[in-house]
Amino acid sequence: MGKPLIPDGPMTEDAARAQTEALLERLLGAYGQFLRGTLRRMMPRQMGISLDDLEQDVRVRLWRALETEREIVSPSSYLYRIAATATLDAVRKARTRRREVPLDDREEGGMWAAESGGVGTSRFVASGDDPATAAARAQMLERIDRARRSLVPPRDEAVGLHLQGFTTREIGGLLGWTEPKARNLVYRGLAELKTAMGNEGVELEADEE
Amino acid sequence: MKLTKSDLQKLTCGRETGDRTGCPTPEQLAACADGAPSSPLTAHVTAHVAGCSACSSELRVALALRSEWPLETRSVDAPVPFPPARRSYARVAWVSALGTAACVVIALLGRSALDRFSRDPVPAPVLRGAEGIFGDPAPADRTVLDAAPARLSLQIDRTRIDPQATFSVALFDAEATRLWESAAEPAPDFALPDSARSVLRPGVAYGWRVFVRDRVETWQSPLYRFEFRP
Repeated sequence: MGKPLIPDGPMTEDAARAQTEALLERLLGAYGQFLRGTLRRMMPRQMGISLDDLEQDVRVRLWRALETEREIVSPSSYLYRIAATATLDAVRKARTRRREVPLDDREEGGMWAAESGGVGTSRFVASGDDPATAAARAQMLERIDRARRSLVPPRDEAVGLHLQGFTTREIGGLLGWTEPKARNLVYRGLAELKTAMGNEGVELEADEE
Repeated sequence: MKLTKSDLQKLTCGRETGDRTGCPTPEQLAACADGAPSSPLTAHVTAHVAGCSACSSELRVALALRSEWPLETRSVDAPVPFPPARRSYARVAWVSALGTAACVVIALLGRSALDRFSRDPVPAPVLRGAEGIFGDPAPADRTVLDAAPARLSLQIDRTRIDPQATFSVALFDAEATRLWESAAEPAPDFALPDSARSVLRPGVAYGWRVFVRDRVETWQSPLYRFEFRP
């Protein structure tokens, strides 16, 4: 005779907690060290995010998830989703805080510099713009958006991602294309964009070496 | 007016992002980076990211994190037991005596293990976001059948999942041991092979659930139980 699915008697809170703790230990035993190491290397420190806080947040999220989900089909992927979500939430919160900080007080350099316009020296991208420059930049962005939206799909998306700084390998990976296909679409898309920008009164020229 | 390609990239990346209400959630960005080209979610996210510098920088973080992440290992890959052991940990002997007495009474009344489930149902473990996708199972949950089931099927709202999604079903015993798992099928309708049916014993409760995989997400249905008469 097999055991019933639910043994007699209600599950106590202590028992439920013990089971969740066991699952948490099991996951963190397998991935805990790796999790901390990866978060340490990957997290955008210059945004003022604390590794300890982030790691604690991941643990709390994991705990909550384990309380409701009793079977984990892909532990690695499962933990990745939780870690990535916690990191991105922390990034968004940090970004909100940064919006309250004057532009000139923001640090420069690194992956996040683009947020403050810190990587460029172009007349359009300098930080601490005066109102006239900011207006010119907004107008230029409108033209770029219009030109990009006029491209033939899927070149518009390929060009959009390229302009956002994604490599052709990354674009291919995201959209399910081979790298040569992504490169080809970006190349053709940029050529098309040049024409479309011309129609907007902007001449696209090659970068100076 | 002249503009170089570098200017173009710096302008686009440097765009200040104000209202984020239309942006994908961190969960969606993480799922997109987790790899599922050509899924509706990825298409939605990448189309948005192509024009949003804040989301593009976040997606890049998620991609960087994913690239560092290990592939699935087997070390903790065994299914975590279901259902949560709803066991009383009271340490007094009379509890087990009472339990035994209750079992005898129930047996005398001809009630099956599944009858007890209806009074104390197992919480359905449904992954986040899957609510409402799963419809009626066949056989229905907590059914006592005349014989081991030949088929297991589940109604699913196909409009809410990737058309390319595949389905599999897993059969468990009460200790969460996976007795059998089907191959991936295009529809959530599964014939139980004789090899799977032959391990089932009458009077014993079994559980099954369906997994939906669309290359971004793996969703699992609630757990459905059945037993069959001798």
